[in-house]
Amino acid sequence: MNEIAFGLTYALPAIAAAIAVAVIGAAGMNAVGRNPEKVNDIRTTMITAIVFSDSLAVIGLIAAIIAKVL
Amino acid sequence: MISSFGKINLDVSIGAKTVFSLFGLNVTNSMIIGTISFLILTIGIIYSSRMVKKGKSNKFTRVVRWAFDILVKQIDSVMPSKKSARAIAPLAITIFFFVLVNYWLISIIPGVGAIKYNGVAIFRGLDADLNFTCALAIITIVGVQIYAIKYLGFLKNAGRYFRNPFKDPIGATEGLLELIGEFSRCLSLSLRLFGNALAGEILLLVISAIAGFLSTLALPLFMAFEIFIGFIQSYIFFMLCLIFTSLAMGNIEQNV
Repeated sequence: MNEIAFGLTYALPAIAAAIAVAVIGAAGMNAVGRNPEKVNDIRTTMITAIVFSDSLAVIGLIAAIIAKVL
Repeated sequence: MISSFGKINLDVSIGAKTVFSLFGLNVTNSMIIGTISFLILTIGIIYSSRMVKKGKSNKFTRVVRWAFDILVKQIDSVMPSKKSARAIAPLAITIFFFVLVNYWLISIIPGVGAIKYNGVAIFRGLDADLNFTCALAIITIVGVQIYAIKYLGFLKNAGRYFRNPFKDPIGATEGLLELIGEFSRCLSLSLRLFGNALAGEILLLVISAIAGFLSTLALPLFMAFEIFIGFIQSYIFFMLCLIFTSLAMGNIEQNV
């Protein structure tokens, strides 16, 4: 049971983060397609949004490692 | 069978270990790398600025100026006014270079984890130390508040969080949520950098333990990956510092 918990603690946030990053990327590309001259602003906003969802996956990884080592 | 030829002991610790004690201050192994990277960075940047003032240029100063120009262009595009861009630039660019040099130093130099003094490894990344990332996050968040107070004034800045509940009930709850959001930003800033750096170090250790003597083939790939991730994380810290400041300063137009 412990091994399943250790694996799931990282896997579930990672699935959610992967889906979120995919949605953000698709929205970003749609936006660039509609308005190609604002590509720099859109890239900045897209990276900011990706960072917010990526950090949750990393916090899940840290929680898994700390629960295993401590 | 291959991995039984070379084995290393996976010595993973979440916190940095104390190497020696100096006048009552416990010097940890991440502090040693931090001091080394601080000296490298200070000497490099001061040398480049002296060469720029004299008007000479060589390859090193050209690389530093190129990076500096890209960062300053990014700052100018995010911040609302030129004065605020000049004000936030030192903090943001220092954060970028310091986090970058620390991350890269620990991904490439040999001897990490292997050189031991009294049984404790004397090199460990500063970014993989929660003390440093918490301190950097606190500096960023407090710095954003200080710049906002300098730009807006103390009462208008407090007015971002505490709005009048009788005239504007939705805005009042939104202000309280923004106050909680400041603390969650601090937490996520520190944990993001710490998580990525610690995971990177553990990844390199595990790869070298699995590959054994084939590490010469497998490890450079992961070191290149670590270099890329280091650049991304430092760039993200830099961008978030800018974005938080521009949100704090720019809110004065949104309160209509």
